[in-house]
Amino acid sequence: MSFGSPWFTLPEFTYHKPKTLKEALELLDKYGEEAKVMAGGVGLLAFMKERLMAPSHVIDLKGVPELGQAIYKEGEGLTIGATVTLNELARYGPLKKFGALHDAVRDIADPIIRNRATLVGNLCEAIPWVDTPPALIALGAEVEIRSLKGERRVPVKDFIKGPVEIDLEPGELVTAVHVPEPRRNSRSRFIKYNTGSEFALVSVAANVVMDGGRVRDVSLVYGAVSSTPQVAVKAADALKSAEKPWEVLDEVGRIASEEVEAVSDVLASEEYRRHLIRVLTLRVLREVMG
Amino acid sequence: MAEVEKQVERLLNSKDFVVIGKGIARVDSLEAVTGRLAFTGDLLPSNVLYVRPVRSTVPHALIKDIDFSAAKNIPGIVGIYTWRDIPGINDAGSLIPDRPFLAVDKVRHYGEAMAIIAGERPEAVDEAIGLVRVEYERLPAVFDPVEAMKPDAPKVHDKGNICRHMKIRKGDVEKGFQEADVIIENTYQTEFIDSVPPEPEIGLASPDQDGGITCIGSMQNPFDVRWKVADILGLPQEKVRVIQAATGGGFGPKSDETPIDVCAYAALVAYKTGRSAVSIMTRDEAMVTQAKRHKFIIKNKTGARSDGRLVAWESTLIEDTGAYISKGHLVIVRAIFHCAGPYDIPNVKADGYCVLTNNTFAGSTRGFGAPQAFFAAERQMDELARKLGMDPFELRLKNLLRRGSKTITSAEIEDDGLAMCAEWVYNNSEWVRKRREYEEFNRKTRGPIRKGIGVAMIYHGNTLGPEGEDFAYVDVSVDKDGKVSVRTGLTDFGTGAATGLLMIVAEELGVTLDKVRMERPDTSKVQNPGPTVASRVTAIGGRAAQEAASKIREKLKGVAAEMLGCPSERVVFREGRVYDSENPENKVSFEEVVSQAYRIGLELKETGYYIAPPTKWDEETGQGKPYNQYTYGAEVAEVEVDVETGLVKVVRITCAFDVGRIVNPIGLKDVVHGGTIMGMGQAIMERFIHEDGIVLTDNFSTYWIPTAVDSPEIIYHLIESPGPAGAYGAKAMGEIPVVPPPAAISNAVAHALGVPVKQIPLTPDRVLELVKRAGET
Repeated sequence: MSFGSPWFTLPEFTYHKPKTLKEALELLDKYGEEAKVMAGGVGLLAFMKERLMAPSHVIDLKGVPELGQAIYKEGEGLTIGATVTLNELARYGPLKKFGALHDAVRDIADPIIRNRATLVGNLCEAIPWVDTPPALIALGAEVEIRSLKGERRVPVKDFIKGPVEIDLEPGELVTAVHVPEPRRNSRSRFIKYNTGSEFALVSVAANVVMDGGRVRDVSLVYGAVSSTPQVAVKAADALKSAEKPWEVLDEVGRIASEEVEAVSDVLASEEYRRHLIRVLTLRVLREVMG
Repeated sequence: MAEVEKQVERLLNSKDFVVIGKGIARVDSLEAVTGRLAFTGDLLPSNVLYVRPVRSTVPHALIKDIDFSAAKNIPGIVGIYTWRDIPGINDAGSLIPDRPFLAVDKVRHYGEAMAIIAGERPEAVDEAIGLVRVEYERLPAVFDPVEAMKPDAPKVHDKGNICRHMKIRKGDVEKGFQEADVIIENTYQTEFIDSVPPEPEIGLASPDQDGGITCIGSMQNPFDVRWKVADILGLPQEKVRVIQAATGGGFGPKSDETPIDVCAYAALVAYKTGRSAVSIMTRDEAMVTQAKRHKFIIKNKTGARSDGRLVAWESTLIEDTGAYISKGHLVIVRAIFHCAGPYDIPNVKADGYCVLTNNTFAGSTRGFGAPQAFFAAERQMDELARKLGMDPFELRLKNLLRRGSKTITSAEIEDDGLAMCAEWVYNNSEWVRKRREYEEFNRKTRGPIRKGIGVAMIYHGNTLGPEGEDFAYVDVSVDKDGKVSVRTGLTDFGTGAATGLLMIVAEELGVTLDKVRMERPDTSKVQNPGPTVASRVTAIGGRAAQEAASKIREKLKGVAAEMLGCPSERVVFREGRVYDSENPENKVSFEEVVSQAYRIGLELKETGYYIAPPTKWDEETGQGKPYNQYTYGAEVAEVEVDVETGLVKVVRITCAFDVGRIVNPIGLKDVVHGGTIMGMGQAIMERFIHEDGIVLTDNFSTYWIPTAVDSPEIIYHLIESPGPAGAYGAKAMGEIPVVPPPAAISNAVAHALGVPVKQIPLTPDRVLELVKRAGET
């Protein structure tokens, strides 16, 4: 630990504010690793003040109109542009169809941060304790990436490669996140455990597809427990294979608490995190299966 | 009879106030919310030098060598200074000279300043600090105050680690325990807390033309800063001028030693370079170094008769003051004088120890040892109630300090403020119904939530008492145009205290508040008014303001009497008008009277001085009268505890305080709300962690404090049972609302879970331990 952070000032950089996507991509192409894009700036500016990043070019995306839109198309799903703020998204009616994401967006941080921070920025920070990635992974969301060379789509699950590490090459820009239309008979929720407006100690997103009394499919994703969002595969299998899923919830919670990676830090011990994983798994499943 | 007496007293004390008691928004609030208030950071000259210290990364070591060779080559570095460069005295202790301003050959805690670096740009300074290489020789260290008391413990300073042993001896405690039907003994523990004022410490220093230095900074006590800066620079006091800029929160640490540090860092550089210099702490620097709330370990042994009457109380208080004493030797005094709760107990023995360790130092923090003492005392009362099978509220009512009762120092209580608070809270919290309902809910529920309700009662010895001379100076002057200026070295750092003083001046002069303004505290303009601590500005400073303003009013009375042609005793000053009380139509304006006074050559400038009666007590027995008056409070907390996650939610706080006299109801509301939430933080959230002396919680990502989101519903009531020492009977109130929540909330959690709570904060992992214990019993 040093007493040098955060520094008082930002490192020096050249500020760009392109007006079109093409212009933004050209700038990114030109400056490559020297450049960072900025949407809300909540993460980037803090990282820069801490000298964890010192890009010589900052490309502000807020001047590009098409990045500022959230569009829902029945049957196709929801596409959320890179500069859509969390509060804009929270107020966007169709978000309610995507239960887990709605929960995560509505409760993240506080209203002041939500006025500034964006969903895409939240995702690209890839900080272990941010709320939206588990919800996006549970909903099967994909990241839309553009560069002068073309475009590609990557599932959010694969996009986050490590803490503060994402699948994005120099010159590439995340233009949007796409969340597919929820499957029939599906229901998703996100809950987090924290005190007040603080970061989560454990969060969980669950997305189930019910089939009569059985669970046809389920995704259980945990945030804030380890360096990346954790998917509980064995716990999901146990739930899917159960003939009477309501009777195995305790067991599912136990399996989840044992199978995912969990760490100790100043805020909580591993033991306490595993305990919370069990409790929250039960709670979220009761909600989505109810 | 008592009722009639009370009413008569009320009547005699009542006064038809025009300004006092009316709700006034803080006079600087509009400026603050529109960003016009000038904080130190807004005042930096363009060519200012940036100054920061090199701090130790180990808790206890000899400094073998410091290598600045790489650091000084950074472009833009102007100077690097160590203790060798100090022209005056190398000490920054605010009361006791035990803390080197810059470490000489040894560091005693993590984050201790060893050198300072000045540069043209903040980036250059930050980079240079990162390049300084320090060679340490680690010394054995001690981080636990109980360990530190042992004779063979590593010594933090040359003398032993116990820097004060304070005693209370009242009656015969052994005999008392023999008379007891029930005796319980428990040990309680609290943690270090940082009060995190929103604005971290900042000091700006500029050389004057005459060889002096002017400092502008964020602080509570400009005269403390002046004293130490002058000594460090080896200058006469009058060569250093200190001005308090708008200050973003104080909570005690800004009356302590870090505001001295930043001003002195900047001043030393200004002195050496002849240029303006500023030192600004980052949040982590501030959290590591600023004075913390002390960690306490308190053992309470209590004896009672089977009917609940307290007969004996024995306490041992161990206070961890960290590596330097700061105010630790005074905090232990306040803690011990309040260690047995607000109860009438014939036999008391208490021993308090202020102990040095190699943790970062603790000092002045809102409440000054009282929250810790009451947490232990009031938890103990609930454990006693449980043992006796009594309702905890009933047990308290049975033992309450009332008019005529004697405190643990055998001082006589002169009013019934506490009983009035208790009665209001008992009724308005619906104590009896809820206590029963929650117990029934907890028996029947199948869900994870348990409900609890707990009570705490407090008394708080007012203002400085044993902590120093309780005096104040306030200057008031009236300009030719009738505008009134108030000047004092007492400060407002977000407390609303300035508004209270202005209201008092307006009241005394009979002018409206918009005619009265407060000048910035400036050591070159006023006398040292004593420190702005101990909730004293309105109560004690108010007396000085009252005196200054009333002296001017009396002068003006003579002038007005001639103008109105009536005897001067009939002249009334009210809301800007001056009139004959027997003929209100016979009137002139305040401005006309002032103008006439100037014409005849009267000087309308007065200094008000007040000193509270000295307090006395015996050092060996603690017996005597350590305080002139007490503020009282009673508080009920309601909580919901999630037994699966351990999360405590404080649902509602119902409280009453006897404030003596309501000067500004809006200010008091803010003080109650803010203090309650801050106290709640100590109860359930705030846990400042030293691991082997290294601070692990140096920012908001790891040190969680309550925000608006966490705020419970707060229902409060103010009682006015005037005290003898404060303005219009006002009692101290700035600190007091932080005192009861740790006790009331932990009692509510203990009620919800049915197990004793002995340690705060009640963080979820600890609560789960309690749940486990509840399951086992």
